[in-house]
Amino acid sequence: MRPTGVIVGGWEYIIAAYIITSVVLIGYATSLILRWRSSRGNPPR
Amino acid sequence: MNIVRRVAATAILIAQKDLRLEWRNRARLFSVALFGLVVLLLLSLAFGPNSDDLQRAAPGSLVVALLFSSILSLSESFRLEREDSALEGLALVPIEPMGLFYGKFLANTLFLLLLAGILIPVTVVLFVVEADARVLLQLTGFWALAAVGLAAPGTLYAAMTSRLRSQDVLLPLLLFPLEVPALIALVKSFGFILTGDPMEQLVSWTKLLIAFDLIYVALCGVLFPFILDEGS
Amino acid sequence: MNNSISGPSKFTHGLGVLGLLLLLTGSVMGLTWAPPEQHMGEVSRIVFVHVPSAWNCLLIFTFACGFAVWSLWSGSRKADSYMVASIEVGIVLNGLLLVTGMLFARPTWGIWWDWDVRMTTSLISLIFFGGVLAMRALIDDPKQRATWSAVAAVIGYVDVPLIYFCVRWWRSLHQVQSTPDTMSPGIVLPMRINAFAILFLAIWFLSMRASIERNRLAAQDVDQPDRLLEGGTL
Repeated sequence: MRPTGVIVGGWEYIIAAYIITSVVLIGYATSLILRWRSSRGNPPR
Repeated sequence: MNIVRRVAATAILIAQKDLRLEWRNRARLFSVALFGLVVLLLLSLAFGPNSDDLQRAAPGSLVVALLFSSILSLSESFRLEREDSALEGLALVPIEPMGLFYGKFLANTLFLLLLAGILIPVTVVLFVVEADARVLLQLTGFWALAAVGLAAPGTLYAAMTSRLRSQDVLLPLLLFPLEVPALIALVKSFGFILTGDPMEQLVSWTKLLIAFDLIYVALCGVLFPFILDEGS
Repeated sequence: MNNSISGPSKFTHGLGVLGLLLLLTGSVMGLTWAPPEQHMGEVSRIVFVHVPSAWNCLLIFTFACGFAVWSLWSGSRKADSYMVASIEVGIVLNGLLLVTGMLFARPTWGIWWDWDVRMTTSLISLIFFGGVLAMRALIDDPKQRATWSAVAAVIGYVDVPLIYFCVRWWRSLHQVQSTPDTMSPGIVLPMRINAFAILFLAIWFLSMRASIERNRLAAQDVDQPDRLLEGGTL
């Protein structure tokens, strides 16, 4: 970071970061729920 | 105090056994060193033929060649124990499991040192580096420090991965990321040895390598008995 | 051996929902209410997701090491299930922090990747813990899998500070230290909210993933009852 002034704009990076974060977290949560269901699917006795 | 003596005695016994076995057929050193030479050849072809470029690439190339051939050597070290379930046999004998680890570790370290005896002179020649006997000795010394840090987790991981499918992928996958501090320290110090060390940074890298060695030699020795328990 | 189906408690589910709500609150605050940083401008808003995931990633890997030691100590399945859960959740957060870090590096430093201390360290830890999971996938015996991956996890965790110091020295000549002195309350509050949000979510993740592991192991016991007979523990 070179302190020559304020970086202007960059909203596309911000939006990308937030979208990726939500996609990853939601995606992982979904995979956990699906895997939990299937792990419960063949219940022990 | 008694246990320290027992561990040391076992370690020396195991190391002697390993070195004697290696000495009897010498196939491991030959093939592994040859592999290291091939890596050096490929890297010098990739960076050459300009001698400036080669000299700049020399420390890194030497370290990469040493690491690659070390991995092969380490994974070989437990293949012998794996065959005919020799390790299970050793685990049944009333010896200190820690001694078994340190014995294997000693043999592996010596083996990696031998490797340097071949690869370092070849690097000096192939990468057109100016080096006198003192430089060669310094390079070997630093490699000895790194070899300890490589052999300790390497022996532990080889003991695990030798019993798994696709061990040839797993050992480097687990060991290389772990060795990043040693690799950086080694490349840096090789660079300083070959091109001069105006800011006297060699000392701090030496300290880092020693710290790395101490931590892993101790930690891996403590963890090895757990692995042996879960053998078979 | 508990044969009932394992799942997170109501409290943990509640914590997950709370985490989700907090994450929404913190992110909306970060995107609208927080002031732009004086040098980085609007782009600094990325830190509200980047920094909390980094903190939690480190925390979760620390949990993983703790669970690994517990697992080696006790050999309990619970410890092993929580260890693998922490490694997996840690990897998710690690990947997230790398991607958001790159998205932050591009507009501020002008490059996607920099061999910066934290970026390098987190890349290496990602590869290492990925390797531990890869090794787990290759071991069939549950007991052996637990011990070996715990050993690998402890060794890898000890490496993290070493890598950190080493990379710092490696780069000593042109180290760019980011300064937290410009932190205004408008930045601190959303950051804290998101940090707790991701922590709560991660706890739910951990609990879910650990339950999955235990359910799978229980199902394996039924498929291969001979394992239980061999000394009861194998």
